[in-house]
Amino acid sequence: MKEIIITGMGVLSPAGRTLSGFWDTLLAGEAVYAPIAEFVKDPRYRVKIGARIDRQSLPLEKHGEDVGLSAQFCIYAAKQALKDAGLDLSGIDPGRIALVVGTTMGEIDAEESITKTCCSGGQPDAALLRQLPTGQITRTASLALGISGYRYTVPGACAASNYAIDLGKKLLDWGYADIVLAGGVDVFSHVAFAGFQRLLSLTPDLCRPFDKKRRGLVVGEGCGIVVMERAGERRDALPYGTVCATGLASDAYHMATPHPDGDGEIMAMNLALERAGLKPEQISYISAHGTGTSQNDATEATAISRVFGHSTPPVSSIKSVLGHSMGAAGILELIASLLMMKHGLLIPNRYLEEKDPRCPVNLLSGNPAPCRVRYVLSNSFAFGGQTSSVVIGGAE
Amino acid sequence: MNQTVFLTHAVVRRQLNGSTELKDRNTDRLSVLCIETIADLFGAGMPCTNVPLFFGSAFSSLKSLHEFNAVCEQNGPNTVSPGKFPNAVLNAPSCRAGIHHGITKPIYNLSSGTASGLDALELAMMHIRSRECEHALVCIAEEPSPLAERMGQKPDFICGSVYLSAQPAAASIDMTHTGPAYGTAVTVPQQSTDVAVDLLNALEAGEDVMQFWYDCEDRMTGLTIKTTGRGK
Repeated sequence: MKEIIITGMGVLSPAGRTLSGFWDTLLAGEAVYAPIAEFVKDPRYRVKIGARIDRQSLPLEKHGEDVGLSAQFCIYAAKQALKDAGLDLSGIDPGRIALVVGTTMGEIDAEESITKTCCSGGQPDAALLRQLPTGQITRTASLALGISGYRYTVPGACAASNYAIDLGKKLLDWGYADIVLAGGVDVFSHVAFAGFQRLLSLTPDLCRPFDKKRRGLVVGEGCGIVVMERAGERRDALPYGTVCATGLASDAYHMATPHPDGDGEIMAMNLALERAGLKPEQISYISAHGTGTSQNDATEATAISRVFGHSTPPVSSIKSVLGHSMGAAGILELIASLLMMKHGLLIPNRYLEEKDPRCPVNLLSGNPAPCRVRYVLSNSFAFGGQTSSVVIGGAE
Repeated sequence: MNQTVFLTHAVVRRQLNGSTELKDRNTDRLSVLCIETIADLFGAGMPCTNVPLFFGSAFSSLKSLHEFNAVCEQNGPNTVSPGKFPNAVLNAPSCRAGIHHGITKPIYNLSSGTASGLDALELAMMHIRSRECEHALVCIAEEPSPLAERMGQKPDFICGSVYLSAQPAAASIDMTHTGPAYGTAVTVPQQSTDVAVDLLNALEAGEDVMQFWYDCEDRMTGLTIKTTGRGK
């Protein structure tokens, strides 16, 4: 079976709208989240911060009334990824190009507008109602991109991106597609914000994954799309790296709480390593799910230490800078990991002041660390106990 | 060579039996329906119950999401129920079913309008064909809601569950997108669960060969069910 390579990447994030902008933000290490104007004066919001893309300057094209905001994010990131890959789609059968996009909340922007209108007794806009079905994300994005191969919208909560990568790899491995655009998307959701606020999962200030004084996550948004293809089939393809293997599992424990022993996380990591044919010591870096909540980080660190032993690879979470972009988190972290490989630098946990003794792993802090990054294991864990790990390898 | 996929069993449920002991009292109705339908399927004696779950739904938990958001909108974000928040996430029905039945394998959620059921079925078949797994559980579910109605759709309260296997069973199943022969009857599904109903009917009819053609979400899909004479 041929290697599956990633040849192009596109991002739309509060941390940047280009790969170089995204990388520069990660290097600078300044949090991109800030007080949200509409929450600041509203006493019903105990927490005021979130990570949002400035809507005023959002460079989105109009693609018709049926195209919701999540789909628009996807189109933007996908076009960027295709350009980055140097792919001219005109010479490729559009039926052999697939689009696989993970999401947590779907077209939540449309849903929230509709609900607001309904609650005030109004009649929701017909275009918003057409945008709302979750499957519209890949349907409308495929149309806008001019592709007609397999399209999957994958509502896999915060593991959705890794599920999309898994399915994209399988479509290529099994011969159902020649090119796959895969990634994840979520736009800022008031519903998610309210839910996490009531679960006491939101930090009021900084997101500090694995810190002893961490207080929670920051709700964010964004989209990342990568171009995946089989190695050796396109002469001018320049890979960022390879998708070595995926490991997907479920912890069968609770909708909102991870299994206390990290059973699901351990299964996903072990499966990914086994399928990649790698020993734990061959992993150069772990891109942690690292949300900054007390329970997630302790469980994840415990699981990592059980898989990797006392001497774990360096571990960090870029959510300390980006916040949690929900269904897009996994793909943005995968893209960040590929950029770390390219630049030979590991991005540390920002705002990590005092390591939590309940997190017995090799936590990166301080400045970006030079490192030859050969293999990365990237974790994404989700509501519903969906656990996922992806192993990627650097370009030779 | 590709592995043949066998259709072991199919069940369809349209109402709750009301006697399921739930681990979480916040579980929404659609999730309970999925839990009970899968229980029906497993109760018929499937070879293995810890199998990958492929869940298809056009609307999934949009009803719960809309209700949660309406509380947020009307009474404020500080009044929403934290216990009901997970119901507002689109993987809730499949994951609640997975948790209830102790499934530790992957749970794939797919949403593609009326093709959601066909996509879940096809993805499960792909996994068996390529020997990625030996058995697969397909669950397809919808529920009516004011929101769906505003979209001009009236899905039933319905869940279909189908068990697929590499082990020879009642029927073999195959899928194609090459298009039907001239004059073949083609169905435009009204909702994603139609395919589960068709598979149940095919198993009950027990005819040697049954074919279904669907025209939905911009493509043709053909399903062929061939009776093997086993497992009747």
